[in-house]
Amino acid sequence: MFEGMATAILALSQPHVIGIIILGTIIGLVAGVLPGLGNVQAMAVALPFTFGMDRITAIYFLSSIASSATFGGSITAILINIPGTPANATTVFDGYAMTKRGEADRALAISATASALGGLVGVAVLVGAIPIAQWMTLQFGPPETFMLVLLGLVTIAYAVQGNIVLGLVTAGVGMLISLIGNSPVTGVYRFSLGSKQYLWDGIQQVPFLIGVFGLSEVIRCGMQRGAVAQVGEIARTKLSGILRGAVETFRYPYTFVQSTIVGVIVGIAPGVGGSVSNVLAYALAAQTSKDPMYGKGSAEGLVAAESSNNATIGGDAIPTLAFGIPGSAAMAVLMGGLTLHGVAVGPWLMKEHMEIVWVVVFGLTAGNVLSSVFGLLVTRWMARLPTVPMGLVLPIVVMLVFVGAFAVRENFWDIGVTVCSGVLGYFLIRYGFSPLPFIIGFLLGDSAELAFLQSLHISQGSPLIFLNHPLSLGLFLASVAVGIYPVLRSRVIKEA
Amino acid sequence: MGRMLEGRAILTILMLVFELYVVVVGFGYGPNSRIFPVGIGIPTLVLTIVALVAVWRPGLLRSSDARLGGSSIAVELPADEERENVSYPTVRVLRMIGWLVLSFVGIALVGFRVTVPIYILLFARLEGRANWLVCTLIALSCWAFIIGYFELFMQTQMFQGIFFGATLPLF
Repeated sequence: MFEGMATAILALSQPHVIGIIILGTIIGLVAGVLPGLGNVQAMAVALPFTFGMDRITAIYFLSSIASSATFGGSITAILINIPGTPANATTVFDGYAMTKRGEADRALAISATASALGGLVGVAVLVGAIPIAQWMTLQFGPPETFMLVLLGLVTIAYAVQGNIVLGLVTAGVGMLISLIGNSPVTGVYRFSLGSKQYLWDGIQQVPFLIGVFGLSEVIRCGMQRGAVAQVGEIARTKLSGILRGAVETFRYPYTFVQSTIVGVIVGIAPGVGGSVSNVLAYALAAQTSKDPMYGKGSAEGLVAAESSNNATIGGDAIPTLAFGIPGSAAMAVLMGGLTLHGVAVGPWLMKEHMEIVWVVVFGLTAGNVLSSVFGLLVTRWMARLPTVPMGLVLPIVVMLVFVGAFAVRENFWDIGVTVCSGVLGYFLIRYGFSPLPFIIGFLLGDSAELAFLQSLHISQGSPLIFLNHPLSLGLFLASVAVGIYPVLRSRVIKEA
Repeated sequence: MGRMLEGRAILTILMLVFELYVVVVGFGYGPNSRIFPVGIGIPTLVLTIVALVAVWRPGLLRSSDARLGGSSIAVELPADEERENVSYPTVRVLRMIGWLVLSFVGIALVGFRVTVPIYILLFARLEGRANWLVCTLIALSCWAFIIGYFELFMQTQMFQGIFFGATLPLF
């Protein structure tokens, strides 16, 4: 454990790694500021650029992007009433009201402080969870791994989609797509439509990921011709207001603790991200707040909104690093990055690559703190970014996505996969299917099949192996419980 | 609302066709190669049929709702999706997809070096409505970055395009 930590710290002391973290933080902030884009899109576009980096530098880069976009989104929420990311949806209520009262500097400082502290608490919980997760992963064999994937998919399908049937359909389709190409166990070419030059190797993760998360957003953003926002005079910020706001954050310890707990718990639930924790924590704080200005320019509201969404990121990382079940879309892209750099993600990650876990921990921490500091320094400039017409930004993103998709393997057809998955991702979102179960099904398909076949091999073909192991049985029962929960809930509501 | 459901039905049917393909073709493989795809494919197929019925028979859906668990089966239309459907006509979506296909074809024919600046220039001019100078500057800067980073720094062999001798083997 400490050897891994030492490796991560040693890397962090190198100038080029510090530079890459700063770059990642700036990219994340800019993506957060631009409505429609967020950490997921920024990470998806940045993913192929990590190909020339060593593994640790690449993960520092992606982790810093992951944790910095949320504060970027709060800048536009506070200054121009447009949440930069869905995770800043409730920030506008109090943040923009404070700006209209001439307290933009105070609002930004509260947001920056709450974001940084919330993010740090999230990461602290992640660190605290490492020994427990390490112990748990030691109990995992192939049957447990398969049942864990099953539980993860059922949970994500229900939690993200809110409609377990549609969620399971997209997860199942994603998993089936991952099976295209040669079987990892038997080596048989499957579902490759006779393509021996391309599909024999399956659909590649990186082009598929950047298509679904990056290109689908390009199509959506391309619907609007002009700029996202017409911004008038941006409020000026003063150092005195910033200091006052930073100190004021500490006057709401109860709200802060409550919101970060909500954020971390929501983060740990696979597939649910900052947009849920932000609303949930804000609504909870509204129940307990005695501030008559809550919702109309209250510091407490800002603390609730911004501490929860940043705490979620640390929570998201727990199932991702401990079990290989992505806690959010950003963590799914991070998983893609780990795979790209030859790190197999699953319950074995903490056994074999503890240094990667620490790199993610330090990367998230650095991104959190740096984004708050940088964000405060350049707020006026950042708030002007949404005025740039999308027609100028999008062709650059498209070309970066295409070059990135190609560069990973220097295969032209990977660009075709990106186009197809981008279009598919757009229509999934447009017609009410969540792309997250789809992607997670795709990412976990291979390892699920491997674990499934290994289990049957151990038991000489008997499927009872999944029920004979206590942990595997527990995970199976948990999957069934999550699956039938909506049925029971509906019955209870109906009878009531 | 109608268009939304129609679109969802088409998408669901496409998924159904893919699942049928996997299941039917899957049965042709050996036991170890087929057990997982077929094992995942069949339940997914059943759920997709349920989702399809839910699109076409909202009345039936409500009754199956009560049977299967209410909110979990209900086809709820998120407000933002509806807004998106109203705001952006299909022709606009097709236009954006057309831009992507155009760039894909451009890269296939003449490679990255030629396509990158021309695509950015045209897109920024026609969609972004920027003046020629701004478009040219953006196109050249992006071209220099992509060539500089990928071709010179990372030593990536950028695709040259069919017109310049590249081949595209698929089958």
